[in-house]
Amino acid sequence: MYLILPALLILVVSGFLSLCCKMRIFKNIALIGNLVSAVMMLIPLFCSLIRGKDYAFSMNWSIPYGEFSLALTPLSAWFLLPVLLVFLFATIFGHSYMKHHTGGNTFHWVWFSILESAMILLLLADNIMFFLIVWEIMSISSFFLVMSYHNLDEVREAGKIYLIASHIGTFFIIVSFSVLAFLTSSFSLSHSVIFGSPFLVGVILVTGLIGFGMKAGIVPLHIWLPEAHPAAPSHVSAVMSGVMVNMGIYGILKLSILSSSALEWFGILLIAIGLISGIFGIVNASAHGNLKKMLAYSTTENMGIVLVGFGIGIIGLYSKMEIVAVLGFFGAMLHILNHSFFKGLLFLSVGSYLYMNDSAEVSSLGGSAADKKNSVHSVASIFGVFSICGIPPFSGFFSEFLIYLSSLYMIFYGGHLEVIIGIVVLTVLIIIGGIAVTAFSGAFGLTVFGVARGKKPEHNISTLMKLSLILFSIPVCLTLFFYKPILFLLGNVYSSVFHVNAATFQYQFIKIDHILYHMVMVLIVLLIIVTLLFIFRCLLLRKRDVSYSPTWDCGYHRLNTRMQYSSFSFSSVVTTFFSCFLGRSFRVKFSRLKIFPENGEFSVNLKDITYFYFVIPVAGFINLIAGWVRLLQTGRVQNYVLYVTVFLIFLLLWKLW
Amino acid sequence: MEKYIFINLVLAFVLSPLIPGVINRVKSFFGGRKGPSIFQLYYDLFKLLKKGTVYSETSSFFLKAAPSIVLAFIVTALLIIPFGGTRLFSFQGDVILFVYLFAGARIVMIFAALDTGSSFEGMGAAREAAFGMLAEPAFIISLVVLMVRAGSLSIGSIFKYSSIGEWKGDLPVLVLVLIALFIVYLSENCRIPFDDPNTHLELTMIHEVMILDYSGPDLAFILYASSLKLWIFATIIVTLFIPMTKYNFWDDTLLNILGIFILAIVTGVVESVIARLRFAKVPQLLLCALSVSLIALILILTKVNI
Repeated sequence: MYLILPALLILVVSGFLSLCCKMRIFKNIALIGNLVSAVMMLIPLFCSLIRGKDYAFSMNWSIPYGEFSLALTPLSAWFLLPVLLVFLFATIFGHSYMKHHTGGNTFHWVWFSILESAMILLLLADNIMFFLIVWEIMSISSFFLVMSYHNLDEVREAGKIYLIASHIGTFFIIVSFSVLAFLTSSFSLSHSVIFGSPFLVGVILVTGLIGFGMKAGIVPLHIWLPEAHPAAPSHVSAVMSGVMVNMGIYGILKLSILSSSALEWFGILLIAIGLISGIFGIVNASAHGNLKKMLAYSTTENMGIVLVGFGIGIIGLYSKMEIVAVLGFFGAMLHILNHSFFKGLLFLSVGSYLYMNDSAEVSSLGGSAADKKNSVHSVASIFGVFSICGIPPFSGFFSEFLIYLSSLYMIFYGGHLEVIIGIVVLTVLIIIGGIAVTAFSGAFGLTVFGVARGKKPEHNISTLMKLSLILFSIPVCLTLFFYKPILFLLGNVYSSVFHVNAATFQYQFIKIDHILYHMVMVLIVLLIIVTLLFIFRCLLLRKRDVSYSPTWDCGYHRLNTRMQYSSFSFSSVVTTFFSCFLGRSFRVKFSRLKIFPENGEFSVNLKDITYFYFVIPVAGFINLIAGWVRLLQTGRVQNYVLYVTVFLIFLLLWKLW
Repeated sequence: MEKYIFINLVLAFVLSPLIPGVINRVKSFFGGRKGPSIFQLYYDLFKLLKKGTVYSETSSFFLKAAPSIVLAFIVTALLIIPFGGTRLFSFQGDVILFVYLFAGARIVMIFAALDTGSSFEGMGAAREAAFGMLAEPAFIISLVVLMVRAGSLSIGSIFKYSSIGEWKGDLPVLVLVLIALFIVYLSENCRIPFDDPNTHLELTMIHEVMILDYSGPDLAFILYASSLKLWIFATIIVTLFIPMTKYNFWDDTLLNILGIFILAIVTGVVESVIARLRFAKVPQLLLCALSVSLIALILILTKVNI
């Protein structure tokens, strides 16, 4: 435990020292500082996770209502693991990325290290005041990171939206925590259960859901996500999308645990919001041709799946179906970890495309797999796509399998409510999975494969970038095969959070272990068969002649690169079918009246419909009320003196009474 | 019992190329022709395995690796699905792995199709992705209906009740599941009304167009994978209805094989009699399959759970 504070100090100091990057000693200091502090912090983290114990540390300081108290519980340790690793790999990537792009933007690493320290302290925070202070530091530092390219108009716009949304979320969190402090009469965050009137507990949960949900990016509070994540540099997007949304989920989880496990309506609410976020997110993702925007919307979708997992877990606890609760929570927690890694991987690969081709639009990319020099990052993109679509044997399948299995258990063994929820969850999750396959295979398939649509890249990505892509691919590919240690750690997290009966929990644990053992056996057989077939094919072809010729083109000689499929057409079936979730408008300029055909123009404009159906009405309502309040402000001193007099008379009368 | 599992697997591997042969023969009969021999796919596979290949210049390592990966996914799915009462691997929740193995095969084929950089393959890939998205829910819900009926969370158990006599009380559920599974079978195996396996016009192609740039052993792998997929889906549909009263291994297996060939003949008849749907109507038919299977699920749950 005592390693954490020095590690944080090293992190922040190395960030500040990176300002002196002109001196040769300090050129790589941010990278080294991050590495050292990450290693130092992994030690207490794994101690806590493996032993399943809590560590606490506190000292007093002069801020009212607050004390500097940290608590490293297995739950925090589980969330801390992706923070440390994603930040480390993103720093490795960003080190070379920012050298090319920055041109004097040296404050970047200061904010980056402050952001990482803030997130670490957030996960360890045990006191409400401390939590809020650190939350604010996190919001401000990430705002500065989003505004890295502040000379571009759309980046400034995105930063503005991000700052506003972040503070609205903070407001709701403050409300939620105030009611919490009122109910428990203390400012600590590590209770086990709160007792109080159901209405107040409900208020805590709902305002906490809105506040933390704004950070997690659930519909309809996700407006800032598709603006801020594409505007930031790629490694910052990887960090924000992979790790910062987890902070929102951490908050929701802590609040729902605190408020005792028997809240059925909250579980249903989480599932409903999760499913809506999932469908909305993935449909919007498939409609966008900009890879970064698509990944941002996909974050919304994955956070929806996580909320569905938590909702199922809560309902399992409520209806005393232990296996459903265990599977739901395990699936959700594992999906958080997997999402950090595969989203980080995908954002870094989009960053590589940006670095090489200066564009993240599918319509200017293509053909990177055919180029031998790009093989690392094409393969990394392919792994990322397989994982995000949940294809066995990659990590995405592992977490989605647990959530599907929990819904199957609900269908088979549950009462009426659980059966209905199980059927709805199963159907919608499969549909979401299918749309995800369409969206990602389309966008990334058109980017990685085919022929390059834009100009050829001038420079290739550096070794450090390739290293970070490889480092990210390792957990993405191998998580399923190391299911035994992961299940053990998850079991520690679950039992520390829910104080379970050891015997029944052990029984569920063995059951899940058994299922996963068989599944991994099947997948190992799959890998063996792949290898055998490939060897067979190579053996067959060794003595035959293998030649190359142009792609079959039905006799048309003048194929150019723009005749390949485009991302708009690829997703057209999905987007027309689910067009109620999209705000699309087309513009076609094509004149048919001439004898010889002329150039036409077709453009699609995509807007987020939540902006029109949610943000503008709510903002309009607030403006309306503000307009009424403005009637009081007449601008004349006489009115204000009158108000003061009336208030003093009122006070006098009240005192006399 | 061990040897029975392997005999069943060997039968699946050996006999599956017969099914497309039977379907094509039935279609030629309807067209007034003699048609290719039933064993034509075997001749094609052996001929292709003996040839070299031509690769597209725009393709990368993925096109070379894809057919092996696709065939491996389908073979693994075959290992999970039981045949004639025996199975190799089973665990709770393996229905999800089963469906996702097909999704994995689909995404690998889509990537390989986009790898060639041709607009034909891109079009086929887009359609395959979209129709696969719609067929998967219907497939998994139908399988869940069968699993609820059998009371177990593993696919292997659904073939316990594999005789018409045992379905007495649940005949509506049986009919609904049959409709849903038949529609999904036609969709996933690229038969009319979803796709025309004989055409080479881009307007009507989905699966055929994605394999335009394969040749030699790669094409052999892909064709064999399609015939295995037909066998897997046919097994599920047929084993539901064959009265397995004999409990004698050879008789059961013979009846199952006979059932699969009858299903192949029925498929041929269906393909000859109806026309291909407009692509805009395909989502509607697949959603019909989804709703039918959801109704069946609700019906069976009211029986079983209360």
